Amino acid sequence: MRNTLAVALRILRQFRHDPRTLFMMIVAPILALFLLNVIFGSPSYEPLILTDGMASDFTQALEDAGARTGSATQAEALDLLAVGDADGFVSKDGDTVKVWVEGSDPAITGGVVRAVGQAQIEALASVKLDIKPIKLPGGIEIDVTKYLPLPTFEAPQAPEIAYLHGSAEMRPFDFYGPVFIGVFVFFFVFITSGISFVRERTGGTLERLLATPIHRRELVAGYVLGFGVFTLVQSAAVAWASIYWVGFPNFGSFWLVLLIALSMALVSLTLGILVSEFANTEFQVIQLLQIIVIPQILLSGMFDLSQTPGWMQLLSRLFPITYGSDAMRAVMLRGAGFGDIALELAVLWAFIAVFIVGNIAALKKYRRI
Amino acid sequence: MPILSARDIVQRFGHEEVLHGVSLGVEHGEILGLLGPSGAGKTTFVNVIAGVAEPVSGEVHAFGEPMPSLKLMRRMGYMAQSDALYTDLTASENLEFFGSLYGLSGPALKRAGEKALETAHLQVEPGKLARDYSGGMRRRLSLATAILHEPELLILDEPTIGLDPLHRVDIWESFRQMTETGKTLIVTTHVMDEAERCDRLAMIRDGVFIAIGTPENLRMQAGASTLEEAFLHFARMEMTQGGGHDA
Ligand SMILES: Nc1ncnc2c1ncn2[C@@H]1O[C@H](COP(=O)(O)OP(=O)(O)OP(=O)(O)O)[C@@H](O)[C@H]1O
Ligand SMILES: [Mg+2]
Repeated sequence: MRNTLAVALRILRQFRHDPRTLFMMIVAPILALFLLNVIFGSPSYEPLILTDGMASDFTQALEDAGARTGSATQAEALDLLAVGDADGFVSKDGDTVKVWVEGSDPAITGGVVRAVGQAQIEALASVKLDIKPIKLPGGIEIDVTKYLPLPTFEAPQAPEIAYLHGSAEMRPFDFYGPVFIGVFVFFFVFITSGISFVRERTGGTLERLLATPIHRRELVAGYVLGFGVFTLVQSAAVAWASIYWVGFPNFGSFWLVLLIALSMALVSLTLGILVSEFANTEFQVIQLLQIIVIPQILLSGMFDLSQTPGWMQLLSRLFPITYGSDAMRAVMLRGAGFGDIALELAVLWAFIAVFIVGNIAALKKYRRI
Repeated sequence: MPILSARDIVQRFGHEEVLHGVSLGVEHGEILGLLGPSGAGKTTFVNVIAGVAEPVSGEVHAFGEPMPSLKLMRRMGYMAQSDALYTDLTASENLEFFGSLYGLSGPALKRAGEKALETAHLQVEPGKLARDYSGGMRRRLSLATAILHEPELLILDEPTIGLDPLHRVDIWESFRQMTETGKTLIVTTHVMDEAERCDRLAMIRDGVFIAIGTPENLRMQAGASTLEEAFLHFARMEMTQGGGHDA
């Protein structure tokens, strides 16, 4: 126990003498979250749609659908599309409405198509049937509309939306924010702990340590404790900044968010140390990061996996980040309590336990006791 | 009874066998030198006897008990060939850390640190990080961390490498003083004049001990006037015997 504290204290002292690492570990994830938030929080792009020979109702409807409009001939419009100065061109070819787009950015293409579609519906709704009463000889007028089951076009009324979770104010990115908090903490802790342990090995201090009467488990526990204190500070800073400064919505308890972030950080810490067993240089830690952490991040719930092949969904269940992301979303977006995420937390801590045992066993290579 | 004995130590890295079943006994109160060229296996051997590397086969006993054992390691000190310091800690923080692993704390730790620095002939500056010391100073700091807990058996891997001749002499004087207080030292070197100062020498080449004895004896046996010539003599003999270590 004393030895564990000695190792932990040493690690904290190393951090104290290396304020840049300290600064980077806390500021880098917050900066990244902030940038993402600004990017995704900006108002959506308004495509510029040029028209030729379309009714004024239609162009008005396009504008209502969130597009900027202008008129141009087809030749002019296509030139503008080609250089990216316009996003779409609409004209009538007989009865069909024809839309040109530049097409390299699916988001812009989608925006144009959506606006045109919406405008068509709206333009249709504004068509008033103007059927005159039939005048019979003798001054009798028959209002045929009374007898014919004519369709009535009315603009559909906006539906009322009831929220089980979340709110109308949530932006699409807010769904991803919780995932990013955990992922960034995981990423940065992995690099720092992995590199730090590789240094311990290559610098000869690991052997030097093993020449002292320290138990292997005390050494690993010291690492977990020393870095643990530090990751606690980091997790708290990142969670606090993302919620109260960057402004991710949080419908759950801040303390649960912190607990999940810390659990993910500890998984990352113990995994980072274990993986550094297989690295001989700091550079190799980064290489291992690429094959061990990046796939985890991709499959962590950042993208929807529900339509991917079964093996990929299964694979994502083998990765600790997935459980952290699920728990983070449950708490921040759906206000889940401790009981709701107990399973995810249990899985994370099981990973931590396995990695710690793995680390203690890996040191056997140097000394069997 | 030897204070440390190694029997039939074999060590391998991948497919390369680096120690071919070597045995050695170290007597209480002596300075035993391990002399051999670069790549002979000195570091590999001392790592095994210090308990920081698992040999493929063979046994090490220290103080009459089998190694590795944490209880025994408490009575031993080890100085690695690399400085093995935390360069992002100050000199005293390094001393404190290693000292605390031997159960030292408070004023006792402070006193031990001061004494070790004195023995290692090093003056430290408070607040200065280990990485900002000169190479020779780091070497002496590394020595200080190894002797801090006053071990009975000290294993030093090239302790004077990178030191100027004056400090070298000072350090060897300290070694001699340590043996006078009943300590035992195992020192690797490839410097002949240091080998000359050892009580006994084990000459190692390509993972085998080719000769063991006092410097004087070895010179006489080889009929040589210097240890260098003696080493070459034993190396040639080993070769003409056709690599007997393979047995
Ligand atoms: N970790 C390792 N992996 C692979 N080979 C190794 C390793 N450590 C040592 N060796 C090999 O073992 C042999 C002996 O190395 P060792 O470090 O014991 O030599 P040495 O006598 O201490 O040399 P020096 O005087 O240069 O320190 C060398 O051929 C070296 O290449
Ligand atoms: Mg060596």
